[in-house]
Amino acid sequence: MSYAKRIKVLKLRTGGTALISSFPSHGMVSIVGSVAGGARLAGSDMLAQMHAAMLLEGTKKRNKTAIQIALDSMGASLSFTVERDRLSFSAHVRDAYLKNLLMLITEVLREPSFPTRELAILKERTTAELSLEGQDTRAQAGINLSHLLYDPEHPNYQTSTEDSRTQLSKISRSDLVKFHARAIDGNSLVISATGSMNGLELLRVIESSFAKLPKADIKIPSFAPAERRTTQSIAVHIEDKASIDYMLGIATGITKDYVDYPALMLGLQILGNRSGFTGRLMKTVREVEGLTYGVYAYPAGFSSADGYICVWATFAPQLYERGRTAVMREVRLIVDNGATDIEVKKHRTMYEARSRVTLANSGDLARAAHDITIEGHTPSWLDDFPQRVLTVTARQVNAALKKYLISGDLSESAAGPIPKE
Amino acid sequence: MKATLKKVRTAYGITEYALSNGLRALYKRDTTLPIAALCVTFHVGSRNEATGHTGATHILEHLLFKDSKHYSKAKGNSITDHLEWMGALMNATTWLDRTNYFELLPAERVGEAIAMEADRMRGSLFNDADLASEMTVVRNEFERSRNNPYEILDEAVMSTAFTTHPYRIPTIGLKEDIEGSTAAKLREFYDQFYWPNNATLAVFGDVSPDELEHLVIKNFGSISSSPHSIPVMTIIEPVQMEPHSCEIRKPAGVSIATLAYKAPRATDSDFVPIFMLATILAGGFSSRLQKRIVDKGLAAEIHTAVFPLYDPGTMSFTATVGKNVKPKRVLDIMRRELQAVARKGILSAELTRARERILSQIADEHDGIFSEIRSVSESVAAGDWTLGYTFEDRVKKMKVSEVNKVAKKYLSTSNETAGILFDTLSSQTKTTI
Repeated sequence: MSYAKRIKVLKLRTGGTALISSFPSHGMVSIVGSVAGGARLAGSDMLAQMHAAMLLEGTKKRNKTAIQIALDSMGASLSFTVERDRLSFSAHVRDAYLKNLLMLITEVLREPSFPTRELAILKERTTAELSLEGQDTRAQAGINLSHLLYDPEHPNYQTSTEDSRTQLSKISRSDLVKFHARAIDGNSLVISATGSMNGLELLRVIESSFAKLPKADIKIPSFAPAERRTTQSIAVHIEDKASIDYMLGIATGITKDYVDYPALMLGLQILGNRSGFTGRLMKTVREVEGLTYGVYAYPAGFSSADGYICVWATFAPQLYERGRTAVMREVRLIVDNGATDIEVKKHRTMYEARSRVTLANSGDLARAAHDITIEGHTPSWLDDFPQRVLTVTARQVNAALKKYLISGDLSESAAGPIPKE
Repeated sequence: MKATLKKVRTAYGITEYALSNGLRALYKRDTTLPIAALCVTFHVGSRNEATGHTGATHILEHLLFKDSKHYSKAKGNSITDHLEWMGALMNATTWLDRTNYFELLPAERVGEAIAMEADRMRGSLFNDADLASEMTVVRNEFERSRNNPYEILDEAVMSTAFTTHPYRIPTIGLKEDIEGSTAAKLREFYDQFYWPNNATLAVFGDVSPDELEHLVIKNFGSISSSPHSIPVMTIIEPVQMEPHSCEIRKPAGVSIATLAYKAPRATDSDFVPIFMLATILAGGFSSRLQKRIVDKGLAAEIHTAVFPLYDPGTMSFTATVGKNVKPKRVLDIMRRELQAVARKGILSAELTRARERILSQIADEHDGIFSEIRSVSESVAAGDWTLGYTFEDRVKKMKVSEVNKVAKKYLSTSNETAGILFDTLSSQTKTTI
């Protein structure tokens, strides 16, 4: 079977790329799209996030209520989000309303009005969300780990909750207007649509809808790949929580395209298979020792930059020290002694078989087609990469683990009810 | 005696079979991709637990991943290994009315997955040692849920809304009951409920009808039906006569306010209009509470929940209260808005928008066989596997008067439970590990 064959790649006459995939989806169309931009271009996570969120707060033609009623009348979902280097949107709509929804998306991208009153309300709402984030053990562990591994200029650096609050307080309507004027470039558009609609007709609708998007010469700031750092640790005590989120990480300095990536990815799957129970960490730290509900190892932050290795677990405070020790033991074991031939064979077969089932709905297929295009791949990557994984050897896995998973340099981040001693 | 498999009916593209031991099988052929989805729904959830043994259904679900008669670590084919090595995405979940075990896998492996599900239905070998190692795992799952202020408030509201019915107890159970579980007691629970005549098997995907029939008979046909009748839970929640309320104080970052109303069971004719009412009130971009609370800056977010349950449940509205806003003020405004709807009714335009939104939600639930099979599992648990499909028909035909009738009937003060989680001052201290 081939997912790639379902996806048609079309260069839009008006600039940008459309990916159209046929998939029987009970009359729904899933849309995932993006244009260049995002937090690093804005120079502030919060400015980029508020810009994205304000797009649905009003345009020159319609106020917020009119946009809300238009979306509900179509039964559509639509949200704008920000990644470090892209402004993204994601939508679900029944095919009868597809054209209207695409026109609405282009309208909000072309001529948002950024009403001052709505900005003030949105800032209030975002302040509440940041307060929630400040108490979120997993979010805090993740943010702090990114600070231990990356410089602020790097795409994988996450803004702290406190800095987000400061940034938020300073944002004005004119900041949004100025940023918008330089942030939308129709040439950088990638739009992926999956559903049971007529592909050619959809292409015409996309071309006519997005034709008037402004073109801009956007220069995303460059960044240096992360350099390896020696071990550091940080623990955030958050009161009145019952479980600690614990993360171990190390920057790799490599991207997904690097020759070692498939072997490293497979090695991490053997250590801590994120979507299941067959990783070593789950088999020992959870199943045998009963120290956690979940413990996983996976490659992270590889979508637009050099990524990092992350091990994530949750522990009760009284099992925290034993849990940390057990995780570190398993990391050292796999690095020192390597994965076995049998493990590598089983995990690579599993990866390939899973790749056949994971995109079996329109939303996931639209997302995958979009994401690999942003990463610079063609749809054939969806079929080819699992085949490449099938050829990875135990020697390659173990060499990659030794090279990148340097246990002595791993940094630790924890958040929650950290025991005093 | 040789097992027989009878076709009961075909509706909505799904064929229902009855196996002679009482197992019901639902089958849908979908050849879009060479994959198959499988789901076994046992009609046992936390509503079936006895006092002192809350959480048993959920712990048992964990233990059903331990060794069974033909699948074990010693043989090198433990259940998780067996499924995952073949490329299956798999897991299990426990809820108020049911426990379900599900897989999505390459179609050519569906026979192996069905064989495994049949084996653990009656052949699970869990023991004290399994329970001992799993206990801390379950406890950590419980602790993780304690980190989430929405879950904490939701549980408090349910335990306040219900005075008698087991829906008042969270599915994960009470901490003291979880810690007091024994393998012997769980075995008793397993022997009461895990039988083919208390289960529904669903198989959707690229599997031929002949293959499906052969696999069901071959793997489940030799299992006998229960030697006893399956225990029936008979507790009925008394009609609520006065408003209930609860308050919690925690350093959560934000305050949260919930208004909940007792709502009908999924098979009740009032359920669909109630679902539409909840959508009109808090389900979309332009819902009443979105406009009245969120768009005025009084709350960061509002959401509604109405679950299709076997017994009467709740319809709830939960607001994440704005930083400088009093939670009671938000609750008062929500209450006033709901009472206004009960008095004056909804607008025809509101019904039209809610209809479009719900039809999209239904289409989303049927996008891909993995999503569809789990949606059917919820209908199975609620008492009628066709509910998800008949729901669509009723949504399309719903009238304003039907929604107004249920608004008047259910949105009364005496039927209300109000819950507030007050945020107390939060603090963080950073140290090195």
